[in-house]
Amino acid sequence: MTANMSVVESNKSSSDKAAVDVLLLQRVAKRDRGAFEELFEIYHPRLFSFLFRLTSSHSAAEELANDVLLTLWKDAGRFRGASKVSTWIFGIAYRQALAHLRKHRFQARSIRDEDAMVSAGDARLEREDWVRQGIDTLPAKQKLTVMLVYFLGLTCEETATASGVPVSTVKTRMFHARKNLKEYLTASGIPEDRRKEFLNE
Amino acid sequence: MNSSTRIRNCNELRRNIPWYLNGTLADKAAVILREHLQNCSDCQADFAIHAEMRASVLGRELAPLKPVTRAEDIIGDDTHGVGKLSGARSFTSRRVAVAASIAIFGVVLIVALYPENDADVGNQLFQTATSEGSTDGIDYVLQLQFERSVAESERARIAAQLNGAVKWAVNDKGVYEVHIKLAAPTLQGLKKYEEHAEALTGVQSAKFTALQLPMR
Repeated sequence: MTANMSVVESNKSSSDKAAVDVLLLQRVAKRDRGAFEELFEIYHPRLFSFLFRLTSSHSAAEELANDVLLTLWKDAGRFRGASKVSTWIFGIAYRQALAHLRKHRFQARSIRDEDAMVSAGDARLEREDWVRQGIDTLPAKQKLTVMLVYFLGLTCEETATASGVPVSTVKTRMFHARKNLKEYLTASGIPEDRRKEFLNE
Repeated sequence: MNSSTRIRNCNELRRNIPWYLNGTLADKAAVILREHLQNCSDCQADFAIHAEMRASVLGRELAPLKPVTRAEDIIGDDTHGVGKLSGARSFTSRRVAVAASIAIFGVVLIVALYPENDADVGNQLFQTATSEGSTDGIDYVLQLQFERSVAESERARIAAQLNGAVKWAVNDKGVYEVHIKLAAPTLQGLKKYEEHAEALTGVQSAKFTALQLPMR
């Protein structure tokens, strides 16, 4: 019973936040600077973390986050309420980040050059490094979808809305992301015993 | 259940794994997937890779520098649609330019006030900046380039252990930008600091940038 109650409270809290977001965005559409500052406080840190994780660049993350919020300031009146405000904002971030990733294609490094990782001795960190490099080699749309799902924790439907594609496309992107990552890990010279551990072979 | 039905079920069910992992899959679908995972080794293998992906995405993060932007920086004084700035990028560039100008002026001032009679200042700075807790100092940015063989985890460790280092990030070119607190060093002292940093194993080059931003 307690668990059920906490779920209900959590859902209620979530819907309350969503309603507050809508009210704030409506005020921003009327050029209310205070409302913009409130939305800024709510979303700028999350956007910055998301974009920093995506680009590994402080300056790029900050510029992209600023661009997203400037778009919000200019286009708040275009929000029609078809999705949550957060999904709409992350949709803007998705488009900005996609353009950035296409412009600055990641230069993959060979895992064979990273011998020092093996000597680091921390298997968990080593595994994270390998997988992270694999994620960085994914096509931009797959990488962004992985980040929306795993970093921001969006539902399948929210991911689809933010990406501007059907749910089936989102699932296909995640399917191919997993497939490509497995191929990357298989082909990248990971020692046999570690590869078995990663791939559950 | 025949094999084709089982394969179709597998393909449908495994596509829900990402949302099962991030906790947003509906309860009923989650129960079905959980039961399926207990008996299907193919889906278990998929689950393992997705779990690795999620752990990597949510894993440790190199401490990012705090963003310096404020809400009013984005919208400026404008109340009619387009912000005071033509774009957030121009804001950042302008701010960097102003900060760099201030920094250059500051360095010139320091050199003028402190003649070059302290060849060992860099060494002293390097040895004592942290132990003296020079938190009132200026925030200098040291750009660190590593040799290719140095792993990311080792790079982060070296950056964190630099004396006076308070935070760091990796820029577009893979260069570590380490913010370092130093209390009014001379230009020669900064050069000495660079030399000591470059002498560390795995470090290819270490250069202070002219950029100094106030800590927020």
